[in-house]
Amino acid sequence: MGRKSQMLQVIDDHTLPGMSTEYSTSDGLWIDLYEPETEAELAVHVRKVSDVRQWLQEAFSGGPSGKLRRYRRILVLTGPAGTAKTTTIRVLSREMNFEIMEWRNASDDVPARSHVSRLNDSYAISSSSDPWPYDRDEDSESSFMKFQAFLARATRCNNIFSSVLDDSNDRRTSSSSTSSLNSTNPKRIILLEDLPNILHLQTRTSFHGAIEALLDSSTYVPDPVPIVMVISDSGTRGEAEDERIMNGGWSGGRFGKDRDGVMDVRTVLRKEILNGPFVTQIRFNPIAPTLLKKALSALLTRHFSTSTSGSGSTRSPVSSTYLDLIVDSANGDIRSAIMSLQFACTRLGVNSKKKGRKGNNDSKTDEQQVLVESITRREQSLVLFHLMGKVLYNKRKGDPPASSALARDIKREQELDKRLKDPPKLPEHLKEHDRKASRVDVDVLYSDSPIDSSLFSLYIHQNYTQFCDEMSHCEGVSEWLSWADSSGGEAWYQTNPHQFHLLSLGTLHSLPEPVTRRGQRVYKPEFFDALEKEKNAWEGVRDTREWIVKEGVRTIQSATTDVDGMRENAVIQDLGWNISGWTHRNIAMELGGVLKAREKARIMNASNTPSNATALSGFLAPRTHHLFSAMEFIYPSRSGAGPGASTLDETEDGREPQWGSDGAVTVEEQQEMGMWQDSQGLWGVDLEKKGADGNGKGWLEEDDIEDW
Amino acid sequence: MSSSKAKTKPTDVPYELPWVEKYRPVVLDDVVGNTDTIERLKVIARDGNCPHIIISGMPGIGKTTSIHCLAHQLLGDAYKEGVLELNASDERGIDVVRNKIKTFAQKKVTLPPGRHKIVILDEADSMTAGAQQALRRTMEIFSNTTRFCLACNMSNKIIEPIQSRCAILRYAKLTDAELLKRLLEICELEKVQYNDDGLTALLFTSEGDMRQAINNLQSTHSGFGFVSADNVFKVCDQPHPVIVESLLSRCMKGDIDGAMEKLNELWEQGYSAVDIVVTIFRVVKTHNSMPEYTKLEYIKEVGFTHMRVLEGVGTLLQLAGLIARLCKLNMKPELFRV
Repeated sequence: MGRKSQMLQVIDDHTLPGMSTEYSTSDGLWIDLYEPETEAELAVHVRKVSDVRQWLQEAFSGGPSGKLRRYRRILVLTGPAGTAKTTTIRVLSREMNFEIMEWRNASDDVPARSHVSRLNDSYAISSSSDPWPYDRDEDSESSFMKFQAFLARATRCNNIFSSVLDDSNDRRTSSSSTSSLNSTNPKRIILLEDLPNILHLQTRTSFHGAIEALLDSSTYVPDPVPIVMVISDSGTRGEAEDERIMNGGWSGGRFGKDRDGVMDVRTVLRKEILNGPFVTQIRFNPIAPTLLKKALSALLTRHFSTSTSGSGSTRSPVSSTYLDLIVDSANGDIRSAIMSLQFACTRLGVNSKKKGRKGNNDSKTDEQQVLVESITRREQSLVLFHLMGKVLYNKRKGDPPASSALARDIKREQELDKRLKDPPKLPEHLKEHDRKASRVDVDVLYSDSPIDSSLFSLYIHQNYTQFCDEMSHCEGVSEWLSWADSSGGEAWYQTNPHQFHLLSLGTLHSLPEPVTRRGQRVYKPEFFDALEKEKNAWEGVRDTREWIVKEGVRTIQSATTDVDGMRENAVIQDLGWNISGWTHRNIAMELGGVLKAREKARIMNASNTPSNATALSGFLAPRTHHLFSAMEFIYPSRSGAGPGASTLDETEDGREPQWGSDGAVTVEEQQEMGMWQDSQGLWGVDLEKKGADGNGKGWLEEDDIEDW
Repeated sequence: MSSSKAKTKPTDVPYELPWVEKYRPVVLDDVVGNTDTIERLKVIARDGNCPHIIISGMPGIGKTTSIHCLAHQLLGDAYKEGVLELNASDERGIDVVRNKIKTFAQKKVTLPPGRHKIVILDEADSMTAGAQQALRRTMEIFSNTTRFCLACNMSNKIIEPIQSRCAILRYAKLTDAELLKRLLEICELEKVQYNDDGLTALLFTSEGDMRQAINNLQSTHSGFGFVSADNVFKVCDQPHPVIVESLLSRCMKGDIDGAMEKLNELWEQGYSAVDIVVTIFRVVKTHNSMPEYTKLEYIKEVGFTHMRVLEGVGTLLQLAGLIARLCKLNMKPELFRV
């Protein structure tokens, strides 16, 4: 770890005699200081690590048969931010003793560091200790050219010095000229994390070109250097745009905008490449809470045992409940968890006298909640749950207190009631709309709301049914939801300043008073999962259409060459393929069942008479059609909880918690398992696998909302 | 309303700094509101080792100010060379992130231990996705020498990988009490003459935005020499909420003629349809003695009209339609039978 070793050195400098040692450990971020060094320290699921390790082994040695090497060219690690993708690679590099060459888009020369060679516009290989006296002529190249050159050189294990200039265009010469030179460290990988700006169309095209050229089998050289790409899911969440884009998706069957703003695997690699034999994709899931907590406590132990500051106390001031809070709010993002922890510790560490008050647990937890509240991130914060609780429990003047309410809360409510004026009565014809004064101040809610109103409406939409007693209640809420959504079109939707008030007032007005308590929980909106699923389904539809066209053309061609006389007829009838007739929508609506039936028939045939299987295989639709033809219908697991809500701990209903979208994982898992396996096994294994990697997200209980 | 359009003070000061700048806090202690978060920033300012920070919140609640204070307190004299500030008006495309920020990050600045160079990215949510992507790795690579402080209005406009690298602080809107306290301090220092209505009007017009409140205070002061409600609304050029309020109360009684009279009054004062609609919305949402249902339906109607106005149909007729619908709500449905 170049960075890390330097970091340690910095610290050493500061602990020189005479220097105040107070800062020694506080300099630097914990995420850097305590980066895992062994696999045991990684908080990643063992299975994922072994997947990655296996791939790397195969890439270096070719697997048991020795032939896999050819196909282990690109490994794509995807997953949400902060799920230890890069760290896993680094840890494995230490364990398996290979070297990481990382591309960095840079402007200036940085000296090479020990373990990771810095390869920006100047190439320096770690085995050479002297910086290469580098000719700066290449500054005139565009940064993409540099990237391309880097890629070309690095993948071929060339010694850089043999071909500093213009080998990117002439691969054959460079490969033949240098095969002898990679002596010192035979194992290395290329890490691509800081990609060129592929959101720029032209750069993206050339990037794709560069990757494809690499994989082009005609220029295959022995011993290619495997490439590892790390791509974090980087969507900005809660954007209304996503929705709009999807609407656009229907019309043309082609996505106009979605690739532009969002960078994901599909942007980085073209579909053909991604699904091709050279690319393996491994998806990292959010870190499971148990693993996360373990890692955090280990980190704390390390931190407080090394940093014996004057007090002599080596015990961490962070209690277990507190850790839980951090874990909860981090939502599987270990980096953010550690950031919060460090940030929080600046406070806890200083106010160490607070530790003395162990007896009063209640106030301590309160304090911690406040603390976490102010440092947590995104919509997972407690604030959000207070917000949802306030709206969805619809408390009004004179409501009886909840059974679990504390005495002081009851008192507070009573005081509040005294201040609330009874609203004037509505005229006779609107009598049914009379309500008692609400304890909720929408203006205050609005200013405290941690989320924008479109996300807020998603949350309400996900959860309101649990809180309704009658159909009419549901009708009321959904009426207001759709009003807020539908009035005024896209531009207005995004800027409507009245939306929040409409939503919260409308919900409050429509819910029963008082809301019946039945242990409701607030769930995360499934919208984004559904969106992802839809995206994947479209991918499947497009694949299928491409397949229809290809197969159709082939059939026609073969038919026309066979019987020349039939040509005209064949073209007219399309031999039943009706190539042009299949729009994307048609495929999605009509073809799913047929494809499924065909496949089933094939499997049955195959088991009866194996010889048929090969005969039919030519007509097999691409497997991705499962994404739209075999969508699971998920029954609501509990009253109130939406279908497959991403929720709940394992004990709740026996279902394993799920992360990400079913569709998305399926494609990837398919690739992990090889493209053409038996379909029956597929779903089973898929679920099981997810279960194993699953991450229970402890959602806040009702009580948490009530406590406030 | 007090009609005391008192002595217009002679402008004896040739040049006056905007009060927002003049009274911008320089130490974290002076930053108003969000006590808990500020408290934590103070600890960082004292102990050093500032993490990457995102501060999100509405405009005018002290995001940028707190970051500046923090940077000043952390770096002291080294502020000038140890801080790189870029805001939306600077060019902040990928090239800038790649070059300017990286060059700065690689620059050698001698700082005491526990102190780091600071890159301040104001209005970070206006950075393009590409630039944010480029920033992602930079933050990590240079985190041992450089820390990033981002300010933005909506933290969900920041891509996840960056959020993951930062401690996120969410600033709540300032309460009226907090705003008022600061306004009073400034009035004191600047010897502003005011009455209570004037300050209430300032709070109403600024909606929790300290910057706007102070600007309005200064404009009213320099324009009229006295801060009264009337003067404030004149300066802010907003329809007077008292008129709007009486308009609404007539609507609730179903008195369409009276309501139209008020509307015409506003219209003849030259307010645009947007101004009127926005003020109606503000008044409705803070209205105390309105039944919930009425409030809800009124907001719905106002919102609808707002949209139409923004679409370009900002006529008196449009507003009259709104008034009519508001009136109709509380009238007996039998009256409308033909």
